[in-house]
Amino acid sequence: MSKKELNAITLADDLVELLREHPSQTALVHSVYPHAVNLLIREDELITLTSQDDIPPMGLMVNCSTSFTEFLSAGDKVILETDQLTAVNGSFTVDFRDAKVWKARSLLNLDRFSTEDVTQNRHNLIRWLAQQPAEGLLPLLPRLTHLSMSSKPVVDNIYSRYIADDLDAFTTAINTSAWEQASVLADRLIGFGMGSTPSCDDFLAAYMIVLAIADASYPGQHPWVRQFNQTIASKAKSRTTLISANMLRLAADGKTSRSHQQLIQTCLFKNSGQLEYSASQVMRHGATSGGDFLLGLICAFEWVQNTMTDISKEGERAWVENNQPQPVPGI
Amino acid sequence: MTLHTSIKRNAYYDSVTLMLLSRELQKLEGVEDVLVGMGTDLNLDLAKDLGLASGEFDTLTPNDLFIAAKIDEAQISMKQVEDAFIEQLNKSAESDGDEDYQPPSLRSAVQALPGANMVLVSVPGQFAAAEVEEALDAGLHVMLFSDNVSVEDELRLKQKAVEKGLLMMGPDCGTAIINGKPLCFANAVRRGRIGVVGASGTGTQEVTVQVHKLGEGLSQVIGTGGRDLKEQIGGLMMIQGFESLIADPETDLIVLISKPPAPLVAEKIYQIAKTSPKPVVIDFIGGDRAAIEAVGAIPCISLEDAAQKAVKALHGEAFDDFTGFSLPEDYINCIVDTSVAKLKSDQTELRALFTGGTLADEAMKVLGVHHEIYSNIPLSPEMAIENLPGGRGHICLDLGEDQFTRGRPHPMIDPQTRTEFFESHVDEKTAVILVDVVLGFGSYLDPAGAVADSVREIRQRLSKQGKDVVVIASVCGTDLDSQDLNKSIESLEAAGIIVLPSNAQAVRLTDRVLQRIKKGA
Repeated sequence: MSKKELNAITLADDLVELLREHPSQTALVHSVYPHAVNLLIREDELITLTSQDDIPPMGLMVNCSTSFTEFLSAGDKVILETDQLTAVNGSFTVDFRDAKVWKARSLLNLDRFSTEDVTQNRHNLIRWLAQQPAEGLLPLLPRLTHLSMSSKPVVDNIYSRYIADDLDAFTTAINTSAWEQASVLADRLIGFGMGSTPSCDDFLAAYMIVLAIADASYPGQHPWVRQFNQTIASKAKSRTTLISANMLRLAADGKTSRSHQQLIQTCLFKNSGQLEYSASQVMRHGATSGGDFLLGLICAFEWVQNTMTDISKEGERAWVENNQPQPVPGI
Repeated sequence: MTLHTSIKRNAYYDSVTLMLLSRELQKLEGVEDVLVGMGTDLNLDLAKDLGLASGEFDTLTPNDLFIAAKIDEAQISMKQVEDAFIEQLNKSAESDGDEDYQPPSLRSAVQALPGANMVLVSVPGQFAAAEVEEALDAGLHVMLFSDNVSVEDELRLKQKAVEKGLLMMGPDCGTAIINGKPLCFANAVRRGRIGVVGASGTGTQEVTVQVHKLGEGLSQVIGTGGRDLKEQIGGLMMIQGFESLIADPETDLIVLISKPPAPLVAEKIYQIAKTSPKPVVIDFIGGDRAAIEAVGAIPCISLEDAAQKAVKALHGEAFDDFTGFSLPEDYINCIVDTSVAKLKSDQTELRALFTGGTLADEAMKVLGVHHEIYSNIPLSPEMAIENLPGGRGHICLDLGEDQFTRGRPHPMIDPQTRTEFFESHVDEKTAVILVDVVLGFGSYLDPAGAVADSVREIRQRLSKQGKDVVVIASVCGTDLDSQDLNKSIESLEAAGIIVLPSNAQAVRLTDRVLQRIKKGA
């Protein structure tokens, strides 16, 4: 087999930082999908190579037009350096030198929407999601949004049926800011569902990112958020898959993939994009994971609506105050 | 029934794959119940609740995949269930391979489709120039759909394209048909011997539709982007497209469409037309007729006229300016009479709500001769909508302009913007509503239905004041368009809308009605 010489198109800034701090290290191929590969470093952290038009935190987007499964297997070793990645068996290299750097945290130096706009965006998102195939947790959309959707019967599945009450209790706890209760209720959610990132983890990830953004945007207003997010991330280490635990650890820190980030910005900040397009990108890249994430987002936006209303009553603190974009380290 | 569990250590599959596999396994003869999932505590709880837990569960970790099944061993063995799982998994992997592949970069797209020689760029404007540059460097023709590209970048990229003998259509280029393949907004038209270079999207669509209706077809339809004929760009792509069509053996006649070019740019184009071995029809909407005739090209008075002259010239037939109607004059007079008769004396104003900018331009050019038409894209600055005296008068809007499409889709894609303007801009003083209905690739599923619904609502509203309104429309579409031309016309007519076969004729009828109202007043 000839050696594949790939180029990185984009690198996540947190990966760039890691490569600068640890200029040469060995990683193990953890899991291989047709368009994504996870590399394991330092026992429980993952780096993701993707050939799709989306990039996660600690990720790199590469120009690979064939399936990764054709030349990579779980257990292969690779050497990570600041400007390239090399397979120990010589099957491929990835050159980082011309890659752009992408910020894994949502940019907050944007004009925020009013409460009414966020409410409207949430409604539009619900309306759009109601038209999508009801896979994963989506059969619970009417119940969790307290809305009657349409005459179309909802076909549920065993997973969504089983978890409905727990999800309902969790969202109610968060919406009443009973975060300690919500932390306990999360025990009934972490790791539940199919796939490498179980459905409820995607749902929780959406909540954690929105909470992290709110915490950064209204400093000191929600002192419980950091502890709540860290608690979930910490619990996830032993209760879910390694891939999912990594996702939740990054979400606790406000980091998510580019398509997810774009959608959240579209919903919360002005001039950030077109809602349905951004939502469809999330659905496309995540499939049912995308739908589960979107459901979490819709529920989390209900909390945002309530919170923004409370804050505006108190005298309108700036949403974006004290939030400057993070400096982008060069390679 | 017996319980079995199959475990795959450190196996990772996305939830869609597992969901599909789970459904397939459930369908197997002899399988009563099955659960597939990762071995997390909560998933194992679910399995226990379903009565699918077995002793093997104790060895599972969250990173292991399990298949727990309750089966009738007389009909199927667990080995067969596992084999079915692997078989479905392989099928799923095969379909994942190429079908859903979304290349993240131009380079990987080219690798995935060797031999492709054109790229359509539609990314946010600030990133577009870099993508186009890479495409041109790779020897690819470009259609640049993105807007918000600077004039400097446009000039540099077009110069590079010309140097390399490539097309760089755009920025903000929405219409092209290359080798019979429609790109972005275009109508389904037959292939033929007429080539078009257009600096305006709906203007180009209208000409291609009319050519199709006249029984002829198009060889190539090349877009240039709206700024191409301004002095800064110098018509680089109009000239490049024009020369390409002169050299194209499948093109026998060339049509050029644009708003009036900068004088120096027009002169360059006229010089090429002068030496063109093929007939050239020019519709520079409101352009210099004498200058066009002086170089032996054919001038036009409307987009429909351009199509008619092109087809007749191609057939070697004589032609005149087409200033009338396809319907008999008596019939048109009858329409005018009956239309005006249903209006009250205080109904005098026009509301022209266009989704196509060039169609709005064409309307203002004709209507502006007899009436003062205010617009967001005025033909002269004093006719800007902001100058409308007391907010009352004739209004012609291009609803596809940036001011109306920020943060929402173009009204050709989503009719909601025009629906809102029907509500906000049509009132008891409105006498005539003029609209375009654009069908084709990229356009809304049922634009005629949306207009018909709005008109019904308006009529219901006005009827409470004992009033009615005249609504005139044209449909830019062909019998091959997916929206169905005939059904669209029927839908409009069912709502009492007068449908004319071209924008030019719809505008002329509007002019007649407004003149009659003025005369009556």
